[in-house]
Amino acid sequence: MTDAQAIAASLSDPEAFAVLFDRHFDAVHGYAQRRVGPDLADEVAAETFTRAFDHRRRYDRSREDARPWLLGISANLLRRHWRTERRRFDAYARSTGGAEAEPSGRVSAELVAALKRLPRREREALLLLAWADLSYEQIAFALDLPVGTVRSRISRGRARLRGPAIESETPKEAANSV
Amino acid sequence: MSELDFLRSLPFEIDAPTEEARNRARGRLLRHIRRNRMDRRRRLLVPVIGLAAAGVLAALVNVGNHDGASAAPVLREFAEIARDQAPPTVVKPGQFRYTKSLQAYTSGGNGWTALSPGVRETWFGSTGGRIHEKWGKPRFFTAADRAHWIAAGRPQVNPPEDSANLPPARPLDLPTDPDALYDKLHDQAVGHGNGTDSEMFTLVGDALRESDASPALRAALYEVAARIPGVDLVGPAVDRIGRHGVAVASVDSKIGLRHELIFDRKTAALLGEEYVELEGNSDGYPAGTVSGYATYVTSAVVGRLGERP
Repeated sequence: MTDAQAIAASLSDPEAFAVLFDRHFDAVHGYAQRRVGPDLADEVAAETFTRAFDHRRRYDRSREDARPWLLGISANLLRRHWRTERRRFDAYARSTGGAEAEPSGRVSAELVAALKRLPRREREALLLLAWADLSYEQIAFALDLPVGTVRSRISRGRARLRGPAIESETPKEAANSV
Repeated sequence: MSELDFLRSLPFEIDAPTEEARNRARGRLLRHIRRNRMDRRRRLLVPVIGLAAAGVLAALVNVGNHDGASAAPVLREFAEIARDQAPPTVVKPGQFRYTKSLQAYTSGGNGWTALSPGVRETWFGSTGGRIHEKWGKPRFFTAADRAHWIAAGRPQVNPPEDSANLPPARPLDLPTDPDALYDKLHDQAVGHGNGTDSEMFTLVGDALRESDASPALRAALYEVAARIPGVDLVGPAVDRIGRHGVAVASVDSKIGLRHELIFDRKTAALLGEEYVELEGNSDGYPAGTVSGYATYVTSAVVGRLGERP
């Protein structure tokens, strides 16, 4: 049974939705854990599935694999936890290089710092690509955006990471809400 | 190394979720599904159970002790009583079945859970209907839950009011022969929920809840419930508007939840239901916590959508 079939079955037999949990909980949890750490990941991953259940009628059942959709829901939930994510990025930056680190380590730290400064819309798309291994097309589905928009966001985000000096361009978060 | 490779190689470890976290999340989803299901069935079925008008919300006093005695004898008595009741009033075309019930469900966010009590009114008709819900002040399970809610910026637990249109009511399609009914519900239960027995009990509840079940069907449903393994007599119970009845229950041992149905002793009508958390429940609530209830207060036939009896 595909995810899409399980979702279709859950419209008349709600418990059929539990299959999606069994298949994708670990992936959703892993993605959330990278972004906000294990404790909040427990909460975000759990809420992802109750929210997905509530929205299952809107699921595009031509998509057999529901993982991108679930990751998109968790990406939305993770927006609430930006402060936590920021602190986590700081920790990554410290662990990849301090003042005494190798030059390559310092570059890494700068990259993490740049990641922290990315506009949310670019960071979200980029992290679904890097940490959830979604394709551009799947990210477009997850975030409910045209593929072209995903492409341009990822390409802009990558450019900003390559050149941390671009930080001054960073627009306000709220203005970029999807 | 490209920036993308760098992101992928960031030096941190990802642990699989703990077994405990996974179980808790799964239990939360199943509870959520059950709540939705209870809601959905109540919206779809034409309700008929005639009950006295609403009084004031009274705290539930569950006088009985759960001693594991089988509920079969009392359910068979109820089957006899149900058979002798008058059939439900027919809702003519253009009319609506109005129902009013008190209900409470859990709502929650990061680190907090609360029970949100509310009043629900429904109008069911052959061409469609309406539901209107009003929610009261949430009751947090513990002081810690409340503190987490405050720390989260006091997010709205429920909208104060909520209305929606409903699809046309669907009649029940179940046999009134107890053997045939048992087989049908058993087939529907196998492989679903958290076990065939507790799922069958859920299906019996679905068919009774504000349903248009005939006296013969209600009698058959009680007979089927009497045959389900693990359906225990809880004992005398008082519902949330002070009506006395008898509670029977099925335990979902996978998530540690007891589902009680409370019946009127005289008419065998379903007065209400309660979800009670047991020791070691998957959400870690204190044993005895009520995590959901519904009390069926009023049922009447009205001539217009939105009209109250």
